[in-house]
Amino acid sequence: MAISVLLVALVATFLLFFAGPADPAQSMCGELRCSQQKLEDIRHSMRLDRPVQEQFAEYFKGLFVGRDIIQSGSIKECSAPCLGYSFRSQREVKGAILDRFPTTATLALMAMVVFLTVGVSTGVLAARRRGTSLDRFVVGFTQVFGAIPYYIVALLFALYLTVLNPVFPRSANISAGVGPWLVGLIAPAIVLGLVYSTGYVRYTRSAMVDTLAQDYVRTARSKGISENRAVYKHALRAAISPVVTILGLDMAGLLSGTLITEQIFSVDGVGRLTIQSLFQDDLPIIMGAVLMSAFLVVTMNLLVDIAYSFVDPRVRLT
Amino acid sequence: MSIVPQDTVSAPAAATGSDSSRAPLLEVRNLVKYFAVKEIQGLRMTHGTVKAVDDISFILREGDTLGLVGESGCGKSTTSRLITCLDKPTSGSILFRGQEISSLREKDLRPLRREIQMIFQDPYSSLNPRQTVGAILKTPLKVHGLAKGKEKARIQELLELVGLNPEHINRYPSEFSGGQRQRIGIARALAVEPKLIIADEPVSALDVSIQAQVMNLLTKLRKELDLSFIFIAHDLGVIRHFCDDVAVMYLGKIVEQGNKAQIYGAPQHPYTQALLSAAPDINVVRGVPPKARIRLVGDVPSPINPPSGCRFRTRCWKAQDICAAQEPVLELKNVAGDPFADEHTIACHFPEVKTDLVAEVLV
Amino acid sequence: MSMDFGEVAPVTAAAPRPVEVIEAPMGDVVLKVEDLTVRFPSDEGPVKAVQNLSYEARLGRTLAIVGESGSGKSVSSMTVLGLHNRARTFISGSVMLDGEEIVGASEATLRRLRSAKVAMVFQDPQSSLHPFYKVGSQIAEAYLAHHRVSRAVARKRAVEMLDLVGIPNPDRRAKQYPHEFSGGMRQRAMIALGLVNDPMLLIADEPTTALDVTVQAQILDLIGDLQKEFGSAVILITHDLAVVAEVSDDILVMYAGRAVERGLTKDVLSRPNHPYTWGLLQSLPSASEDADSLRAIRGAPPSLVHLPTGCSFHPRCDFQDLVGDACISQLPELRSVGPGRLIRCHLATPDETLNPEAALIDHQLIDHQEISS
Repeated sequence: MAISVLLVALVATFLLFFAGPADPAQSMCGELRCSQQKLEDIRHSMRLDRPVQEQFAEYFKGLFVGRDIIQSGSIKECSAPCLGYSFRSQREVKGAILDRFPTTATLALMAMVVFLTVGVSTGVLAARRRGTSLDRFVVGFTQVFGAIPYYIVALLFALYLTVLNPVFPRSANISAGVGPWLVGLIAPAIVLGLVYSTGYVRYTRSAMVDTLAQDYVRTARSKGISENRAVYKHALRAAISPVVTILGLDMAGLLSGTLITEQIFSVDGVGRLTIQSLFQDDLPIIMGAVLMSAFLVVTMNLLVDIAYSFVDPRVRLT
Repeated sequence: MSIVPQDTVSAPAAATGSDSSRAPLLEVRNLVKYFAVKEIQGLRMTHGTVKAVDDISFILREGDTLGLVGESGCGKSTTSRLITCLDKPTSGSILFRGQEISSLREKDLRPLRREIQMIFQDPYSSLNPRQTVGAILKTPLKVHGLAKGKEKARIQELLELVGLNPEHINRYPSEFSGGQRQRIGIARALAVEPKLIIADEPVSALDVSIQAQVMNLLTKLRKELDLSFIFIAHDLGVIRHFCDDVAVMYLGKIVEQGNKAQIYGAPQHPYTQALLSAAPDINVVRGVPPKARIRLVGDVPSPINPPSGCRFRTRCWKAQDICAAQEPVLELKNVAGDPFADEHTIACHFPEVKTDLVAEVLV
Repeated sequence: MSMDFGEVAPVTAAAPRPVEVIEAPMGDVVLKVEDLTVRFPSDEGPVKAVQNLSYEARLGRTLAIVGESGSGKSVSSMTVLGLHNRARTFISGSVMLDGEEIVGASEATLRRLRSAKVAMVFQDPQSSLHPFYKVGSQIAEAYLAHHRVSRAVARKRAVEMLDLVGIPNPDRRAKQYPHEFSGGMRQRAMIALGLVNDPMLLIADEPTTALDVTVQAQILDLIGDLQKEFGSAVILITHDLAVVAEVSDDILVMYAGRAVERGLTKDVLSRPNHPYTWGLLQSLPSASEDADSLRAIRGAPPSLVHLPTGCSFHPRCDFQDLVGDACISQLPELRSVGPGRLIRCHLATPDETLNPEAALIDHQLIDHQEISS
């Protein structure tokens, strides 16, 4: 099932780029006015003169075994998984993406820490105090905050907290040292985390409202255990399941690169690379990024399923 | 054939027992329904079969009331779905007025649906909350083209028939109590003037004080409209009150069948005896000696892998080797001490009459 | 025919047990409920779930609280464990458990008493056990809440309890999850959970309603056996009068939040003195006798927000016209009609009015009791 999703994504992306109306070679060229020789070069190396199926087979083969790219007469080897070659930046797509991946991944993980702690604890608090003004405030606030377009929130945060009043340090490239690089990721991680947390507040709250009313929580209380234990060990434990699913999907998205955040905060991650490639019509990189994203979604879904069977013992014996 | 009243159990005044001269209304022969299930354990997937109904046969004649009794997993609900053609059997046949109905297409089933109707257990979920009572009752009339031009009058007539106020025709189900909703469900079933009603636990979801009202209604309707019933319940008291004949089911099989005097007064199958013994009896407070205590050990086994031979043998105190090897056939057995041997069938290798399971009542 | 059981587990006592008319001893009072009133807010107005309820539970005896939906039977027992949401529930009156007041008690007090002095077995064992935790650890948790012992000791205690309630292979079962248990076994596990700290009072709220009748009999037997062994008081909440007859010593009948009849089970069920109790008994189809039609109680239980004036039962009562206007205008007080016997009714001579044939067969009943005791 997962394989078929990947295959469909692969074929669709490929067709979009290589069988579409735009001339891929022209876009890949990178210069405004491409010399005929260069265009021929590209076409030949990307085998654009061959039928579509062959092109696809070539690409497919490249993913698993590796293939050869012809560039300006010389043959370069593109090892598996070969995601293509960017003529514009003169390097393999795979390398370009992998260079940036650690930054994106770290940002994603830091954001996850923020939205999980803030989101879940606020959700639990609101559920416990359901109906009170605190609860209503939390629900109202998350709705309003979640309704504001993300780029506005990110821009405002970046502007007021990193540029005008440098409360948070600016982002730095890893070449400047691990320390500054990490510290530079704090601001985007916080913004990302806070905005994502609105969803988690809502999911956790509604799942908790449901589980707190369940019979097994009543049983737990009747044992004479503390209220906190009943809330966390019993109610929250059961409410976690829907949160796990959403977490998986969110992480897939975050790991694929957050385009707006990275752009606004000048973080050199996969997202920024993707945006740059979009502006530059660097097709191979765009394709590579899309494929990676599809792969991440499928993988995260699989991980979520596995996590589910640990969370809910009934799932193992369906 | 008549039922001789004995001193332990009083037989019903009208002899509505199985009189062989009347034509059968419904005949079920070797009915089987298996469901395929997949179980996922880790990475393995095992295929199993739930043998919900496994070769049952019975005859229902016009005017009969047959009770199907059994615990969870015995197959009584599945049987009701098969008879009303809501499900297709795996094998076997269902004959209504001599015509095979289990293999009919939906188109040909339609006229049959006027004859066989069902009353459901849960009055809260079996009525569409978005339809008024009038709309709910109008639907069957429209589908079958009945009371054309006089629908409203007929609907009001139906409401009165079940003891509801005809002026409430435009109310929604949520405005009625549980007992009233069940009456609406009964009115819906009666709208098409059926001959056979399958009642699947019609009073189990109701309060005790309301159960009697609905039971009385069903008794009245049965007499007035000359209906035949298949009545499914787990409450032995309700079955005894309403049904003239009883079939006891266990894990997809009928283990004992007879009229109510036979089943309650002289049960022969160990499971029937255990059921009767387990049912709490209010008469213990009236100074009567309590009945024989039979307590089964363990829970009802799963219908996925029923025991070989006699399915009851794993909980039976009389079980012997033959019970595992050979499945007992449901048949007449002339057991000593059974005053009601005619048409009392039992599926057991060692049937034994017990007449002390129903406490005597001093009046 | 030889009775050779082979390898099939010998199962039952097929021979009838001798008649037991052992009157349970009058043990100490462990629970004293006095004038309890419980109200919940709702959109339509306050829901008067329980009003001015008083009763007692004694060690070694089983009290059955009987009523239909809306009678207040479950609400009143949840109050004993302090399980209501204080912010939303109005509770007044007194609930004394072993001398300690529950109404208005602090959370710390309630936690100390829950499971240790009073435990509850709920109706649906499927939803009452946490689906994600093993059964053994759920029982151990209750033990650890009240005893300072290691987890290993608590786990051992859990296995002992599972064994006590008749679950075979208790160590293997303790490591399983609730969904791996059958319905009857789950209820046994709930009972094990309830008794793990040896409480003096066990409240069983409709413990067998969700179970098959053969399993119900096993569970009721189990509760009865455990009560005899440990001498605890049992409150059994149910709507099933036949169960009450077989299992309980004392009975409290509730209607629309109030007590309407109280007394010894055998007295109340053989000679009811309240029209509601009488009506319930008349309307029961019995597995033991034939009747042409059932004498039903007309009407339906009232809304707890808009209760009828005077006696809450009067719109459905067959005897209201015998009394007259008093039933409609005046709420009857609980009054005594015999030793330990209370009713809430305006009828002047309830016993004779409701049990006219009783006088005729009185002497036959007395004969039977003399023979069997």
